[in-house]
Amino acid sequence: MLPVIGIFIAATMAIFAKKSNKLISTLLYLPILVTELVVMIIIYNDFTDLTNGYKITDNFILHGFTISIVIFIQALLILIGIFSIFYIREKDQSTYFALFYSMNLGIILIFTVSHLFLLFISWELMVLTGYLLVLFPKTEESLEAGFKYLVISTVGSLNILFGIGLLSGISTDLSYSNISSTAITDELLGKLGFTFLILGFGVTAGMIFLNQWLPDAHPAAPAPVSAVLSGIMVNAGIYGMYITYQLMTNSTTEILSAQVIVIIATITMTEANLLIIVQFLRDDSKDIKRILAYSTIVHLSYLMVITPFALGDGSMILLLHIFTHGIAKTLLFLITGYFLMLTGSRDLRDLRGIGRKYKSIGVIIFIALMSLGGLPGTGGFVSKLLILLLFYQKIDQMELFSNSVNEVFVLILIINGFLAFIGYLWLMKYLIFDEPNEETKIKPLSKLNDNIIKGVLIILTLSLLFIGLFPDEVLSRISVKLP
Amino acid sequence: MSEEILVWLILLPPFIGCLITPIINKIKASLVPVTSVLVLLVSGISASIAFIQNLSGDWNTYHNSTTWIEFKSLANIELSINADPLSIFMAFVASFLGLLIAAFSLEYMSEDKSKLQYWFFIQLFIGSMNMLVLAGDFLLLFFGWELVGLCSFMLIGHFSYKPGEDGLKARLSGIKAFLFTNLADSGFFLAIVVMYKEYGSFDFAIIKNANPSTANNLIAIGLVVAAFGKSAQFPFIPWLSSPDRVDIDAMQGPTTVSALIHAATMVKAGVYLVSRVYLVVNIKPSEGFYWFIIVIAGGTALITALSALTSVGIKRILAYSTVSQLAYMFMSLGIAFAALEDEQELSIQAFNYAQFHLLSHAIFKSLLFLSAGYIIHIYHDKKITSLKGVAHWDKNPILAAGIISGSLALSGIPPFMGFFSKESIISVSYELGFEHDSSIGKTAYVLALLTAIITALYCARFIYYLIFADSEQEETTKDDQSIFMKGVIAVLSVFAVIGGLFGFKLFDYFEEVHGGVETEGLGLFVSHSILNALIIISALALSFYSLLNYQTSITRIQSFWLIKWITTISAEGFYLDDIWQLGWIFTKSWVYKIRRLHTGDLNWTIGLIGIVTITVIGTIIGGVDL
Repeated sequence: MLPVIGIFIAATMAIFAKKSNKLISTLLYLPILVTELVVMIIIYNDFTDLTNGYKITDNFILHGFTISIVIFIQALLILIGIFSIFYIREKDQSTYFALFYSMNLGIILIFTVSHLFLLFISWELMVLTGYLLVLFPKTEESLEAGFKYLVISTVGSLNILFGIGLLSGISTDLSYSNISSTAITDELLGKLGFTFLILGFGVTAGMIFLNQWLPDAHPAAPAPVSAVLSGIMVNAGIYGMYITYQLMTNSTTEILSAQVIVIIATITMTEANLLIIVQFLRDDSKDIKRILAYSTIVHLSYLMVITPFALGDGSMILLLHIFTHGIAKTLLFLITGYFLMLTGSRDLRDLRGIGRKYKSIGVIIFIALMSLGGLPGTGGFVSKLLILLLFYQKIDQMELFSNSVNEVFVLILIINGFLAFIGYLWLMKYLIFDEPNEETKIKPLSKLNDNIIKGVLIILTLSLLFIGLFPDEVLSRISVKLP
Repeated sequence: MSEEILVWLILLPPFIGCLITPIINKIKASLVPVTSVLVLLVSGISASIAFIQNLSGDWNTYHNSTTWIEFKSLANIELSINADPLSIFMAFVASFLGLLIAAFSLEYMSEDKSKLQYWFFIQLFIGSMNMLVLAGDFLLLFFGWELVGLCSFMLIGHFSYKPGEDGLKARLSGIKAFLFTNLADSGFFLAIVVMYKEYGSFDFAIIKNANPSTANNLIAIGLVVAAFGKSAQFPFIPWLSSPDRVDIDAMQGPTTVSALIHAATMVKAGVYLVSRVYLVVNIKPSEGFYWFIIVIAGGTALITALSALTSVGIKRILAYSTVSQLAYMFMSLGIAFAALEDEQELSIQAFNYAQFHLLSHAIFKSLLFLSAGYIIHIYHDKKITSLKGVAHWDKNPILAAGIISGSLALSGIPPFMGFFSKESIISVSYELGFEHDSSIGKTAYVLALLTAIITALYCARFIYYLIFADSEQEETTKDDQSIFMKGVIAVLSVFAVIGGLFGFKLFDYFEEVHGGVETEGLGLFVSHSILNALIIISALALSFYSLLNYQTSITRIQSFWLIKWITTISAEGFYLDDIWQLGWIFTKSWVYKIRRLHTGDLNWTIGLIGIVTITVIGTIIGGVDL
């Protein structure tokens, strides 16, 4: 209900108030997000039935996995919301927050429903508000990117809908519990249904060729929206695939589709890493947000590659990488927004050496990129290590491929880590080490705004380091709530 | 003092130091260098006490572990500290030499514009190296390993802040070092993933005591590749030293950083890792594995010695020399692996000689680098050809003593430290090759002896130019360096002269890590080293004599086509940089074509989506067995 209240307040403000100011925005919007977070934490602490979950209605059941992810999303949304108050023009804030809350509602519903058709409706709410948020700057670039996003996402949604339709032919009731317990009588129908679901969710999860909306939508959207898209929304695609695997009971389909997913994920990862390098080689533009968007595809592929194996405790690893990647990527997109506020540009050539002028931001970029690159001491290393350990264990146990082929896949994932590193070092060279571009005009922010934004960035950075150094503090809190 | 306290006193101060450095910088920036050195003093003294306790047999291996990640069914990952004699030995090298280099930096870096960054990373560097060597499992070792790589990246690129070409070269050099070592680290990552699957643990003790897995060779090869990357062995040489023409390598960092990388920390990590593999991973004997190590190391030793002979950059000569000397250590470890099954005593001897040479190289190479830094600090020139006679005895006896003792130790001239350690390695390869009729041993012997001869030649050249050649520098250049710089050079010179006499004590020292098996190293050394030493002394003497009296003859020899050809390719670092560069250009042109897949055209995109959809559905529905 809380996001609905948020939508209502923001929409009312958008209609009746011509202008908002930062204080009003802060007082109106942030308490709702904070309350949502507090409520979720209370539910999390009280919840004891680990197997059956916390039942709100028959089709709304919260589990340890989903509550953890929703708490994480809420926490990120609060920080992104604070940043948005300073980033979005004051007169547009009410409209922006109305859409922001709608998306928030869509995402939360996706993680809390336990019925395939309700999942689809929530999905559509998220996708459509995402489309409107990409359009928000109302520039030619955003219109084009938004249209592409809408068309490709619609293809994805149609796949999901088709998949649901086919599964309804097997199971009379589309609730998760019913589908997973129903014996699949028509194997072809079952296989088709699950495959369409995987493909549909694959659009948002950044699967190769289905991900073409992503590198366009991220640069075109306002920076906080890019942060939401990259740090939060795309994870819904991975969650969709995760749910699909939870529902599969036929082992042949499971192994076959796991093989396909592993192959697709490794190809996607390699392609995205190489495309990051391409961005630096381009003469026409060196768009930092586009580079980060490709990096998102790389990390989604890490998630995708373990999705078929992330049942039970394995889901914690999925969750951990969602956390570490989400934090690092939110951080970097917000920094991009900060630079946009300072310089009006997101081209690396204009931003050359800016990390030298703003040393604290330089250090934060360094830590965030090192986390994405998987340097020990950062959250990214822990999650990447666990992904590789789980992946190798599981593909070996399941005998997914022959022994040597399994080893080759592990090696490909590791080499991809190196490829990603090339991109991150390159980015670091531009932003932190190069001589500052003296032609770039910098318009400093007021001290208050600057300090609040830096505060948000520091919180995110410290979280990355905390997870990196004390992962068990996070994992043990989640694991006690998993069956 | 108890083992536990000493270990934590070695390990923690550098980390605490780097954390408080920014705070001290805020309070009073001028205090940063002093507090950093004080912090390193605690670590250095503790490591020295631990080392002495170990030497006197008054040390019990300290082991402590803590749970880092605990998963219900998936993983239980522990991080552990293991302070056995090998770890303490390495910690002593890193902390003690690190301390001396830091003390030298007080004066050397006094004018630097980015002191906070320098001292932060120097402390982190030494702390990470200590973590690496005191780790009791491969995961914590990997932590230290990667942090050492990160610090080297930041320290090699320290002068990034300089405007123009100097700054650019520093930036590119740092990135180059990080990329090369990171590429090789893929082997380490692969090894730990495979290790965990096979043993369910990263712990040294568990892996050592478990039934050997068939994947052990894969683990060992992954780790050796990572070690070769860190220690700049073929084909990873260019990050540490590239030709004068390219000039983008680790030498772009401050000379104190070069000393730290070459003598005390980074490159030694590779040797330590392979030593650990020898002690921990039960490798199923495979001839290919020994050949892999010995051929790569032997080849690296030879080609980098040739490059050192033909380079003109004072630091570059020393850098090539480092790679060459590290290769000796790897060769010795290769012999240790080769003899492991049939000749256990010889194997242990080879292992111990590698450690001995590591210690001796750490001392004479830090001495040479700091002496080179001293010269660069005064004359602001890096070319040996324009630094003729700058270290003449009359001008600066301490510097001259440093260069002579360091160079003679490097050449392996008795009684300097390098004589004992290098001759030991040549002797053990002779023993394996000719006494036990092994082709691996023979190959190692030939490569080691040839390299030793070339080393003697370039050392003679080094001494000749810096000390005996007629000076071309203006006499007005002032040599008013502080007592710290001179003092550090003097201390290291003394070690370089007399240190070798105590080296064989290491055989008792390492007895525990070999499970109490008693061996002695002096006998083997004495029985084989005389002929080798005579060959090396002759090479050095001949080279000196020619340089002093027959410069025209040298020029004539150099003009002979074969010598000219070898000189050219050696000076170009055997074109390794160009080969990597070509690889990069090829990759770039190929990678750029991938862009065609992401044109942004919607029709094309929908077509691609169709292809993916049909392929996936076809594969799953068709039940294609992959």
